[in-house]
Amino acid sequence: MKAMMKLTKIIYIISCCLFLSCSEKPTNPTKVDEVPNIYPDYIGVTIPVDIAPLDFNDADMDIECMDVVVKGSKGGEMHTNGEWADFDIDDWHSLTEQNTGGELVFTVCVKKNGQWWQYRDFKMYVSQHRLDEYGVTYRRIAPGYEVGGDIGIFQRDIHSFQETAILAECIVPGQCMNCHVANRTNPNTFNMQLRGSNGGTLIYKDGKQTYLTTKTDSTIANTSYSYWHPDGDYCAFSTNSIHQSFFVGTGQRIEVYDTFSNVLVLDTRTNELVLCPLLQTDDWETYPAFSADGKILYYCTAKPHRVPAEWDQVKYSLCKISFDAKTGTYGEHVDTLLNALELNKSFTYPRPSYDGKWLMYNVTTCGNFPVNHPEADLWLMNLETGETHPLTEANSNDTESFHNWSLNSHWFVFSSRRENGVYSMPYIAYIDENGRAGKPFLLPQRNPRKYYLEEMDSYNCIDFTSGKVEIDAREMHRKVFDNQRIQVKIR
Amino acid sequence: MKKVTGRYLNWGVSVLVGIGVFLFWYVAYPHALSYQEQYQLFLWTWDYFVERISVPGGFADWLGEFIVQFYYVEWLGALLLALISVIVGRLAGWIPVALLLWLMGDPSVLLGYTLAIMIAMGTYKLNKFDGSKGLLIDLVVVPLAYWLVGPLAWVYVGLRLFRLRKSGWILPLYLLSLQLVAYRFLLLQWTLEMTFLPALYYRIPMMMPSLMWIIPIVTVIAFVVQSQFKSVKWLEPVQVILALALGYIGITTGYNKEMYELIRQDYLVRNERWGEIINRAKEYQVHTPFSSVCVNLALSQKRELADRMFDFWQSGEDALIMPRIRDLTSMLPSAEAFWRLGMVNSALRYFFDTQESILNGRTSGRCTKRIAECMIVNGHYQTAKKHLDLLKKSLFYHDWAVEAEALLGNETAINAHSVYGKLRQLRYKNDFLYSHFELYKMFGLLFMNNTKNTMALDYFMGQMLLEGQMQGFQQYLPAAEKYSGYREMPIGYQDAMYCIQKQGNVPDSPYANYVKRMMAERRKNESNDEAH
Repeated sequence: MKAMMKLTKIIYIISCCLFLSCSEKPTNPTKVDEVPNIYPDYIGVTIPVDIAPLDFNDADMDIECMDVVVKGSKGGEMHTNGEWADFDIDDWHSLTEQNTGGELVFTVCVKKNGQWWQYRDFKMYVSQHRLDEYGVTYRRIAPGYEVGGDIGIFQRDIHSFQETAILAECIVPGQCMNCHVANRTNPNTFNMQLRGSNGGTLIYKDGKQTYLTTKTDSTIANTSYSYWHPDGDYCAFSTNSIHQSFFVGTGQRIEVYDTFSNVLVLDTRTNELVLCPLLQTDDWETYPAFSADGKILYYCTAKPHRVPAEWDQVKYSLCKISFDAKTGTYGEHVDTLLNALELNKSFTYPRPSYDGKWLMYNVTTCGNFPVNHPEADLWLMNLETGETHPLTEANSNDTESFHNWSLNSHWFVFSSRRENGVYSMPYIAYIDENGRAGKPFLLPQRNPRKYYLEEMDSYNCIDFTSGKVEIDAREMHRKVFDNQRIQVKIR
Repeated sequence: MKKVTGRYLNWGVSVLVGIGVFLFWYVAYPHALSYQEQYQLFLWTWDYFVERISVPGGFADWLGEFIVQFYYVEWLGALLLALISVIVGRLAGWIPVALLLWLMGDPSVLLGYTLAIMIAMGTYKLNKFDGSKGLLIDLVVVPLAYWLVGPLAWVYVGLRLFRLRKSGWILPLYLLSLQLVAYRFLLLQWTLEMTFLPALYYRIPMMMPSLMWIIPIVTVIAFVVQSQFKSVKWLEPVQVILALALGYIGITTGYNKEMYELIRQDYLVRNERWGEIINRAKEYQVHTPFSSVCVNLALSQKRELADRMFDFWQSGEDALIMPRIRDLTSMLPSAEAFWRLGMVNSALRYFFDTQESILNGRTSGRCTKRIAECMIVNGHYQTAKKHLDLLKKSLFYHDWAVEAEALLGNETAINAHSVYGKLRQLRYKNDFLYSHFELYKMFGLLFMNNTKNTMALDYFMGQMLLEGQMQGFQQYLPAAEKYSGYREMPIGYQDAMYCIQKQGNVPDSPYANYVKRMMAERRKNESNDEAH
């Protein structure tokens, strides 16, 4: 693999030599008292050591050349010159390593119409907290309506630019793949939902694939949204009847809603569902998530409404119930953390930090599917004090959703539609001890403008993975089309 | 003398086949060319090329897409197919050409398949070396052929085996090893079937027809027979007769009449040839909702829907707009109807889902163009630009995309645009959720939104008739008379009113016949349900 990467690097360098027309140095640049207009907007972002180089382009398509010098506040310097700022991976890693907890200062010169312009320097901040996960996993899907199309679950090494398929559409053709949900970024423990004629729930633990039918006589549907218990034996699911309707206007395109939903827990050792009357009510319970210590199950719940007619009346409260993993039993009462009716908002997609300190969630005006709500923002709750605040630095005027934490709980990844309102794009942001987010940065790409402008897929269900996911896709193909499923039972 | 005669005969057959194939596609099946073209968008970029050739057989696939883009100009597409047929014929004989013509009746077969066979044959013809030198060359050619044409490299290996006889025994093992290596290390997301069969050249890979593996075998056998019996004078005429017979069988059985009539209707809708749709439907109409939607759309564009709707076969409540169906064709006429009605978001949804239903993951130029247009009308310029940028990398959509791009952000120009400006006037002013179960209400609201939207009015009234909403139809008839612009009450409405008054007892009434048929179908369905 290393030899392969080396070969790729050599080919890349040769290609650069062959194809990059621009290599001249800035001469007598005219100084401009403003920061450069770069794409992606990496100005002032906080980055981890060893992240892939934050290559950037000039947002103006008509430049002839770009020259960038990067200096570290704790030493080190690197230089790049070409059509865009394209940094060497190893040099970049060294520079960020050397400047842990410091700053990188970028001096950008751009040649336009034969004239060099030097912009005001800008900074990136290198966090003292590392992000040692291998990468991120996500589903790539065109932001369509009812047809998934050429979808796939992918993983991306965040320290380089390498993307590989975990499961591509071509090996399970015609099957809709839903969220890949790992247990605390563990690449060897995750689940995945498959829909369609060969649908089922995949439980993947330590190299073993188990396919389940999760609908029973006592439950209302197959399982959907999920979250692992930290010990890896239990996994909480919601069972939803999910529908969508489409707007005729020019704003929000789609509203996704449930006509019923409940929450339950699956014991993956025995394939038994552990039910709780408090989570199987006529209200709509959904989006379960275990606390970092596994003793609390967070979830969202809403009063039923006539949907889709009353779609804007459906608001979800954030609740919690205790859970004892030793006995597989729930607590006897439910606490409401955020009351939707009182606050007139909908609180969904809770994601507790792995250090037990924070709970990140989505706030929208209504509904349970924030990715389709332009007003969807990320908020944070301090689990010790119950205080909440919006992650203002990470939020935008458009949708933020599908967030999750790094293992050390100092980074979070999420998708945002801030760029064009339709395509969800992957962002990573730093979060400090006080729950303040740094300015998020778009997942680096070798040539980001080309990559993201040509990218016709949305990134969703994005999460960190501590190692590379190595599932046998062909075994998956066989098992999916064998259609042999283990019927779960009720405990 | 014999040789000269044989050469003339061969060239004569080539010319005749060329002319025949050209006329076949250009005159009889231009809609099949349009169908193929609309489900791919060939991009003139290095990335696109690299992406395609990154898998075994990808080069033939890329070349196929390169040629299919020229189907946009029908005569050019037909000409290229004629040329390809002649080249294949001259390389492999006329029997494979007939079989390929038969196979191409399946609209999911991609041109890359034919080209892969052509390249495999061409490679064989180029490598004239025998013995150990030939084998050494094969060490390079076999992997190259495998990468260019995928599993169809077996055609090359089969022919080389025939030529080299015993000394070529290693070639099948060599190719098999290459395939296994690719399967183990490169094609990790491919199944064994995809690796060993030419499924790459079928739009629905998991449903590859058996003819796709029969043809390579026949090609090799036909070539071997030709080589063995070269001196037999009746071989050429027999081959031509066999090819003609196979071609005849192929055309009569491989080109499903109903399916191609629907493909033709969609092609006529795409080209706005409304009169032809109506005239053809008078002679022959396939009894499917798809056909009803096409005919009704054509009638509406000619402003004849109110008069003549029930002169044609109507499928039922889905005869004006079909519900969503996950395939790459069914929603297209409905999407076009939505677009013309001013239901821009619904058009966008249907085009987007059609695009995503292309199972080999290709982009549709036709759909992408409409998607970009919907986004322009909706004022979503950044996403429109994304799609226009894609179209700008193509040959035949490029100029249009450049023109459309100039409109982005220019509200004045868009509002003054003959189509986009009009659609902005016609579309809904208020935002609410689409409901397919209340389609006539959707049309009614659209008409109320802009009473100049006569198409919405025609669809509103038409949908009520399709659903048997007699009370509503009578209630809104005065409004229809007032706003429709018809000089007198349309014949179709008169007929419907007469039926209502006579409680359906009107002999030879098109609407009464429709209602009777619907009631009979409903009774039949109910009794079937009870039986189950």
